Amino acid sequence: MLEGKAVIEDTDMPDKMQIQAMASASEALDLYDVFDCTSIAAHIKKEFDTKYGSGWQCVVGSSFGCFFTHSKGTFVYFTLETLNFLIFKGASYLI
Amino acid sequence: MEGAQEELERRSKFLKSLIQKKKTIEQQEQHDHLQHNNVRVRACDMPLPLQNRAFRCARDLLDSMPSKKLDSKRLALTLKKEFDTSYGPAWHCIVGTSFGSYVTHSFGGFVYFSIDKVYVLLFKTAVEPLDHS
Repeated sequence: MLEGKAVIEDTDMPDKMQIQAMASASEALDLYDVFDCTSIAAHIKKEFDTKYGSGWQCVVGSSFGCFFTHSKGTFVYFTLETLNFLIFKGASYLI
Repeated sequence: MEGAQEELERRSKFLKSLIQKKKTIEQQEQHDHLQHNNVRVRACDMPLPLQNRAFRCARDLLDSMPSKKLDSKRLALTLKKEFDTSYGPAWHCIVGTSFGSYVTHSFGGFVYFSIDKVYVLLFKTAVEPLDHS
């Protein structure tokens, strides 16, 4: 059961996909302990690979900074309870 | 003929021992290098030269940061840009003291290491053409 509400910090993702991201995160927190960041990240990434095609990346934690290149419309960064979530798809470009 | 075979076997063993010695020396040098820079490789799928490039880049930047305060974003940015420039797009870098991740990376483009008290994940993803639609 979702105790806290997710807060979107930054995104360029369609609304529907954002909702899926937060739902997947909530699911993962039900399944795994809040300290098991790797399993939480794995759950979310696999969900997105299944629903939206392969190549998704997920980072979960309480203390990290990062730089990455993502495909257009595939990036979301949000907080839920004590954790921060970053989900994005690896870069593609137009030839 | 038996004499020739014995000679071939002797030379083969000699060459194998030479190769093994070279590997041992290289591993020892790498180990010494890591110890000196306080780097510990946690997981890796990356050629040695690229690894060393990442370690040196991280070491140099951490040493240059005032009062040794960690700036995760700056380190991540520096590593990503250096690798994008040197080894082609697209690299991604996560730096911090508390995070977990799950990623898909290109073959030979992944390293996860700790340096001082910070953890660094650096990986590459394939760059593919967008579908025309």
